Amino acid sequence: MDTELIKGTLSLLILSLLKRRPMYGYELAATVKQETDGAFAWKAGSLYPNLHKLEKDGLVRAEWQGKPEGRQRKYYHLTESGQAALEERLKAWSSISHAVNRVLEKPHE
Amino acid sequence: MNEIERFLDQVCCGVAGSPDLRRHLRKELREHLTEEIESNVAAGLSREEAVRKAIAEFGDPAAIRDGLQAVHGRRLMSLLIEKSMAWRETTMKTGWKWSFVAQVALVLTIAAQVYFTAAALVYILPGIVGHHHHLGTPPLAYLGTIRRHTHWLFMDFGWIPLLLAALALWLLFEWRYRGENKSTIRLAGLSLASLATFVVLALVCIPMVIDLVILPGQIYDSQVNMRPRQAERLVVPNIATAEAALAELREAVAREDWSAAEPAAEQLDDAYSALEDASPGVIMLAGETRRDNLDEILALIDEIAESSDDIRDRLLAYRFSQSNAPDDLNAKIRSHLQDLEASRAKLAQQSALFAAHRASKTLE
Repeated sequence: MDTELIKGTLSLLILSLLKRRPMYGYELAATVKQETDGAFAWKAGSLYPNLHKLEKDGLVRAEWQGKPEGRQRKYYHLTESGQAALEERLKAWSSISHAVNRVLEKPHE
Repeated sequence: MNEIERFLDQVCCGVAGSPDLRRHLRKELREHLTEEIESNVAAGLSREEAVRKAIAEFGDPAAIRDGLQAVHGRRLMSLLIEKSMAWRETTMKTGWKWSFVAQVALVLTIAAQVYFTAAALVYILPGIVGHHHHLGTPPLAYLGTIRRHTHWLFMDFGWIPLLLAALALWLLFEWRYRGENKSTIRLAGLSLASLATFVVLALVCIPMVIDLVILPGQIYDSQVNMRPRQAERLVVPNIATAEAALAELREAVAREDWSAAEPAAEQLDDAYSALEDASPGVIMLAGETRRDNLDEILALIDEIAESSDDIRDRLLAYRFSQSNAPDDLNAKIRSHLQDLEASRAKLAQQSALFAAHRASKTLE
């Protein structure tokens, strides 16, 4: 699949997944892989820089959870500004996909 | 686990941020890898395969590092290291140029040193030894040894096989040697050769300089300490040669035999030039007891040398061009010969040595 197209959707998908519930990196990648039937297999190498960028922009907030002696995971939560950004991006996405689909679905003359 | 840590080193290297942030970043990525490995093992892979697969799926470490650095910034140190590595690579690529310049410079240095050594041995050393011979003093023993040993080098063309052997050795190296560091070895070889030629040059020139420093002292010593008999041995043979040449010249001029006159004039000129060159002290010690007329003796010797030189020049010009009419030549040569005889008569009056020699010749 075209990596440029996937890249563009990455932060949109992250934000919408985090709207469901806080998740950690591996969980995000595994969920996407499962729900897209393996079509979107995010490499950790592109996932984490994106997550950190969102965190830096204040759209998500990270928190370590777990027992100190056991496994600890870094959970990402959607912030309020993240929520607003998600809505905005969803609107943009739907108008783009609507426009693209209209072109793609027009029958050949 | 070492493999994982090595991989994380590659990924996290150079990412800026507080130590806390970098520790957390590393921990987060390690957790991800651990979880992936566990899932791979659960799917039936061996531990090693699981690690390998997890790392391969994580992505290219350089690309991840670039992504992380784009978000968190870059450590100054890693920037410097990368710049220096890039610089090193460029200099490595242009390294051959510098190496070529160094090799050419060394070859030129070797050639210059060989040239100066040869010039010193061929032109300067014989001059110094000859000077000693003229003064009757021995040169430094070492200079004599060098001269004996280098005779074969120039006179018997010993330098040709030496040069061929050196070239053959070099060609053999260029032809047979196949190695990455060939250029470095060549550079080292040329440097050693240059050092060797420098040592030879120093061994040849330093004794010459020492000898030239002590030579003026020897001239003084030879004048002050030379016994009159010893001095006579340097001066008297030249007077005898001059007298014999003069007798021959007189006869040839009387016969107007110009081809016989020329070598006689040459011999006369040489003998008086040698007396002119001989140090005044030697001439004085050779028989003159009066110090005050020494300048006059030397001036007369000078005059005779000049007159014989004039005769010789005229005869040479006649032989090469034949432009002068024989009558004119005859008159000119007789006039010069007259001047010469006049100076010689004065010299006999001034100098006991010349007078005595003339007397002994007359007696014979």
